[in-house]
Amino acid sequence: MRLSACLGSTGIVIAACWSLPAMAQVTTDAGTLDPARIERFFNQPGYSPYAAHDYPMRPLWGEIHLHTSWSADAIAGGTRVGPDEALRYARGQEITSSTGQQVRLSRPYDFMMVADHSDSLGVMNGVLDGDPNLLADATLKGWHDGMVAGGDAAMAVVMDMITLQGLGKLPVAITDRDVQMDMWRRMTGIVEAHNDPGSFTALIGYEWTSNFGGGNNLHRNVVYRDGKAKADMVRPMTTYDSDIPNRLWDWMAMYEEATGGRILAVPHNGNLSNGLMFALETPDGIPIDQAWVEARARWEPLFEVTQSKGTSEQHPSLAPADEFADFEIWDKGNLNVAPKAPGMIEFEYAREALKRGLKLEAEFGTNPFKFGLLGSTDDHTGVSSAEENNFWGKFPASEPGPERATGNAFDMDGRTVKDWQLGASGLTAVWAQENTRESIWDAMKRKEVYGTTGPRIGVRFFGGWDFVAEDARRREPALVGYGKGVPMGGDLHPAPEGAAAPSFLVAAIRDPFSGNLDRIQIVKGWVDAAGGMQEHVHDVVWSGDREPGADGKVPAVGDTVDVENATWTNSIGAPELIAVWQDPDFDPALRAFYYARVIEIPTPRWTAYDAAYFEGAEFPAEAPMTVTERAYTSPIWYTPG
Amino acid sequence: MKFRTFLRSPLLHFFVLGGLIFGAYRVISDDPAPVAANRITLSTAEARRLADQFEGTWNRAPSPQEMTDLMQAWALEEAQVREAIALGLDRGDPVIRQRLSLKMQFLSESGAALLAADEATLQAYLEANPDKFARPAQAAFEQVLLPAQAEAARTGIAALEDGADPADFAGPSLLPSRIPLTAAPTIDQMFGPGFHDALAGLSLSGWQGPIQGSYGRHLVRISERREGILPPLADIRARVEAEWRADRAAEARAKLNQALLDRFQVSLPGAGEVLAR
Repeated sequence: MRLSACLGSTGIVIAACWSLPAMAQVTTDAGTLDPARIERFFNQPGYSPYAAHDYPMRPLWGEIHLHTSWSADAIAGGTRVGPDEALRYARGQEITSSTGQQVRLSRPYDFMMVADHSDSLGVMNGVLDGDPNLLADATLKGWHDGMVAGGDAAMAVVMDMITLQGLGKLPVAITDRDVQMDMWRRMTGIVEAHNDPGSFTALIGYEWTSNFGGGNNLHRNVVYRDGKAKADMVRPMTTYDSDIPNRLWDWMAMYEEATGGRILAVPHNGNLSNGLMFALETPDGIPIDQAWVEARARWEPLFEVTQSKGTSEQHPSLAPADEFADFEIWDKGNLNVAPKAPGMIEFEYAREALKRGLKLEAEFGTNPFKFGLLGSTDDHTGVSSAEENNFWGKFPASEPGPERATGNAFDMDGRTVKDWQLGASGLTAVWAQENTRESIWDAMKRKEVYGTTGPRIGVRFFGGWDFVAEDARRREPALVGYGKGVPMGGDLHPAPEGAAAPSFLVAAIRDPFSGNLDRIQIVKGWVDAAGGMQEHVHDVVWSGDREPGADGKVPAVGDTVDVENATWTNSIGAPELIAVWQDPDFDPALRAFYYARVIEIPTPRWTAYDAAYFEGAEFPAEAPMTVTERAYTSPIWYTPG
Repeated sequence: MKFRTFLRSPLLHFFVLGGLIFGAYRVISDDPAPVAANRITLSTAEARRLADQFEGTWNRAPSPQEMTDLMQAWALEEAQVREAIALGLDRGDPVIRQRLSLKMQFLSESGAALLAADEATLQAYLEANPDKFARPAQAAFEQVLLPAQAEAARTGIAALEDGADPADFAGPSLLPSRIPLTAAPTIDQMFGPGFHDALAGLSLSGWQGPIQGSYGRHLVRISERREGILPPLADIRARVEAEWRADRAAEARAKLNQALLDRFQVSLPGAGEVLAR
């Protein structure tokens, strides 16, 4: 732990490391370092480590799960912000929220996907688009011309329509449902107008919202790599078509075949699926088979691990040894707050599914749950908000105001979830080379993404066979990371001759707007020789000079939060942490995965900001006032050769 | 037990009560019962629309079985919708009301969607809204994060001034050491708010600083700087047109809202009157 000691809690990481020799021969868990071997990656004569990187210097930030007034449940809840304004907000502009308050992001996003529910919506609008069949009608022709003229002329047309309708004299053609506008094309048009390759990416997408059997959350967000031209060629799948996920995959395959485009789907809220999200049978009761396993692996490379309706990484009851698992847990029931039966939770959380995936891979040869992790808000306000001091709730009723201290986020016949249980959570970082749809989508597809509970914590995570402690002292961790290993989302290369165990280079830097870092952990999951699913959370680097206890756990970092004033100080924790870690319990015969979890020091939760700001906000004593924000990387997998 | 639960079910009460009201209405109403009220008919043309919709989603025609299923589902939906409307279930439903309101909004904006703008209009719009379209300033630089101790900082500056490679003594960090030409907001995202402004005050010659960022003090060497500019219309025509059109749509929406209200005599009680009760 020499390195963690050098990353002191004084605020400057480099301080104590300043005088470390750049190129010493060191003996590590992986054997004695051969300086010549390192030279392969560093400081080769004439080779500048800075020039022409083909890896990105920072991740792109955004989210893929925001609802606007175009979602029926959002508009019913009073949402007035449509997709155009939602995208303006994501780009950093100030907008007016549904409750009439001005709102702006602390910093713009790099990308955004509005994911309204795919139910179609018709408006008698064909005439306005100049459908020639309609323009044969003199009245409609006049309307069309008026619309094209715009301004007052267009206004007169709309009023004329209303008047004729009132008199029962509306031209028959206009009410013909064949000419109704396609909502989807309008959406893709708006998104297209905001897509600005190189500086802001507006992804096309939608949410397929299956509540199979009544509130059992099987929702998926469908993410397009393509632009409007291809996305318009096929109507989005709705749950009227089917509410079975494998039918969605059929639709996705058809889309790709018909258009030559690419799409992927991201499920979310396993915690509200009442045992269905990662079940071993389809919702309609058919045991999963080879085709199902392959389709899920193909179409669903990612899982949304955290959002406003709770975090689905791991349930504390499934990981009693993990003191950080009890985080923003929603386990009362499903979306209708229908209570859970015993045995459901095992099929709802990401870590459990990642482990089960290893077992299924042994059975089917394909791992259906080989997914990376990301976060998104699922806000229904048109305002994507994952910042504790800038949280705009899930629906207009939970926008800032003293009422949300005691209000209900969900109320199903008296079974309630309180507003204060909502999390200001869900953001995605993408290690994409360029800020374009193609580059971001490709990074999602290869799972080189990670999720956070809101802060923009920078995280690099690489796995290989010959990372050594010295690698954590390089000035550019990414250079050695890509040079010697695979990034998050990848598969470890086959073990080279003589390699004892995989090693990992992991580094994190705090959000310049948020709290210092407490520790980096590596979560390992595996299936033992008897077929039992196992996990172990390793503390690998932490701030200060804390010593692990007898149980191997590093003690808590402390807490500087002044709840009353909603402030904290970065006098504990470290701004940056970096380490090389080698698996001490590796068995080459067993399948395993590893992902990094980066924990911030405690900071004020949104509830504390509310309590400090609104005089009348009376939160109950059970409402948490601090939060330990975190980042979850996509895993790196090991498969026996 | 089950039957008693059933008897207590609010839904049962609802239907029984509804039936009674309808029965009473039939008895006392003068209107003749509409002949076709109990007939649900789907024309071939309308059924074709269901098939088209299916085809739009699945990129193939439905099979005969699927077509039958689609039509049966339609018939059930139609029956449910008719009965629901007859029972007045559409009234006061916020989802339905908001959806209709949204449709009116689309209608009011659709004129703007078709508007074509000429060059002069867009040029004027661009010039009137420089904040919307200006490209931010950019800078390219190298940086070294200094240790907290003042002494080490002095050593660092001296070493750099002697031509040392920062890589020789800088510690490990995810902060990039060399930042290619990058927009000001991105620089601030990486190093903290105000960092680019601080850079802007420095010259292009050699190592300078330190300047304060969120992670501490940095020495920087700036290699290139570009001022923010308002790009020519030709470069960003599509964006300007989209913004201009969005403004027109907002105008149209406001106008239509007013025009709609003008069609009615709106009488609302005073807020005080309502709240006094």
